[in-house]
Amino acid sequence: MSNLTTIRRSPSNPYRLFLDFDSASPGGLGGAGILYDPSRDVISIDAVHKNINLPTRSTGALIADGLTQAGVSKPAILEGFNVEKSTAAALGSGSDGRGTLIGNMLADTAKALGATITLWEPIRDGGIWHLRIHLSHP
Amino acid sequence: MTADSPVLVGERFNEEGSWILRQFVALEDLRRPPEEYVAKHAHLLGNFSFHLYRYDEPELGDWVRRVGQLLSTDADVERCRELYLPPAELAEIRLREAGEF
Repeated sequence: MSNLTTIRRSPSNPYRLFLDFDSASPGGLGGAGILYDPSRDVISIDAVHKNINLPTRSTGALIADGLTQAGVSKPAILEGFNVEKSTAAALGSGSDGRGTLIGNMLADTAKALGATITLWEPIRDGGIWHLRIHLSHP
Repeated sequence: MTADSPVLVGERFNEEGSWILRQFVALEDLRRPPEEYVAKHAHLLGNFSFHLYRYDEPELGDWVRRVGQLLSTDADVERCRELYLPPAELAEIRLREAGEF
């Protein structure tokens, strides 16, 4: 099966990746900026843009496909860094992130990687929020 | 951008950001005013942190910091949309705004 996502690696940082979603549905654009921290086994998503041609809840599978190609398909933690406003508002109101836009995207990524979520961890960081999910793998 | 400064940012963003920004944002969008980029793309962005990086190209740094600033408030996003989007496109974006990723 052909890959959905095209990965590009930064020429100056081997742990910095761009996952290009346009190849999944050309013309729809979209992609994600990824930073991998090997010391903590954390995949941090520091920006994500939908492919506008794909159905909702497609982005997690695209991220998972890119991570698998990059050889980091079993991270301990997936993180959405500086989440969008509706997710941030929910986290600020006490949600653990389940059912939010970014929470669902991270959960879809975990599912596509075949992982189980063991912990939802919202992190307040000054005036912004990050959302982490901790994973176990078979 | 916000009253409180992020504390986890630190060394993570002590990296030149032009490579990743140029992957993420199409060249034609980088040539648009930040307000127009925000008008057309805010509803498609799940999270955005590129304004926190270091930029050796001052114009690129100014552009992305302005995008980050505009994305941080609903009022600024709305103002950009009303400035740059025709009514039909604005209505469509509002329908899609809460869409899942």
